[in-house]
Amino acid sequence: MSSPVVHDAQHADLHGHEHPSQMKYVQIAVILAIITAIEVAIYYIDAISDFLVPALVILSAIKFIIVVGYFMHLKFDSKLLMWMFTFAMIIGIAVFIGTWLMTNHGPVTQFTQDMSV
Amino acid sequence: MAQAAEITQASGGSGHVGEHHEGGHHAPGSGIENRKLALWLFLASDVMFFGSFIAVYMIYRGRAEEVGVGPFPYELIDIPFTSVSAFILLMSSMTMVLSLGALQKDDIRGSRIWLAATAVLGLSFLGCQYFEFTEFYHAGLTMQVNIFGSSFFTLTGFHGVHVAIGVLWLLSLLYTSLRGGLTSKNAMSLEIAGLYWHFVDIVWIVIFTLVYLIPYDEVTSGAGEHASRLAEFGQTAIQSLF
Repeated sequence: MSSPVVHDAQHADLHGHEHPSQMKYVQIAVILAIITAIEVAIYYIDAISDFLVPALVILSAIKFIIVVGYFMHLKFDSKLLMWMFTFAMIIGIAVFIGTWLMTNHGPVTQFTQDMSV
Repeated sequence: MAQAAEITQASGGSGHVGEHHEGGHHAPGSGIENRKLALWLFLASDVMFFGSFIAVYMIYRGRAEEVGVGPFPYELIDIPFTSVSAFILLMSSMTMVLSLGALQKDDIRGSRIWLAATAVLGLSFLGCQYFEFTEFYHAGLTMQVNIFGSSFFTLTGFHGVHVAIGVLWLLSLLYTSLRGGLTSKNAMSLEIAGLYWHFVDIVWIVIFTLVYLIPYDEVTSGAGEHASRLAEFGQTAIQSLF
């Protein structure tokens, strides 16, 4: 049987930061569920259709940051891991922009393979 | 003094608080266990992998209509159904983190229950995806029929493969736990699997928004014009550099 002191130590990270408690994780999950519900709800509201795309992107970015920060412990872990992941994100976004710029955005034509030839 | 000794004991004698490894090796100078560092490196590479798929999907998003060969996304995508599967995957992230928390507190039984719940939720998500793919297929959407089919099945299919691998990983950990091989001393094994599982969740957060929620008529109207203008700007910028 572990002592309470050991339990406390097990909730801290390499740098001595406290990890969230089980209840905190449930609260975070409830927040994520509420954000998802808002995303789906605003999809059906015509009045805000002009702002729908930025609103959805912002809400999903908030969910992304919460999961990475709390569930993946990046907020409490070594900064090295955070920089590594951020660097990969920057490369990923650069790939997206690069692909976008290099793509021919002219009319799309359907590729058809003539099997009879 | 005794308290300090107990903390050191809990940290595996490494002087770092909160490490629960048995014979785990750390990357020199980083204080991070090798397996964890390796998993994060893998996730970093996977970010670029999914980044490329998402980029391709977004470039061709809503453009199948230009060719006129359906079925088109707005005819098939079922937001309420996909919202349920997104919710299932989101909740599986919660059960995963609760399983790890329970194991770190030596609550082996609690850890097993939450781990089994995560695997069941993962399987439920895969079931939803199987149903969706089948429905789309019966509606005439295949990989070959149009660019929506090609980019949609490639992106969501690869995500599904990641979920399936995650479920197998979770079930193998559950089996190890039932044989008594998963305790607070080697909680790092569960933490690493958890990192992978949460990653699969964040990828779905992005896919759910970009593929499903953003309306297709929004992107179709003027998308080609914006894209052409942006591409023209990019080409001018590249030409001015060389």
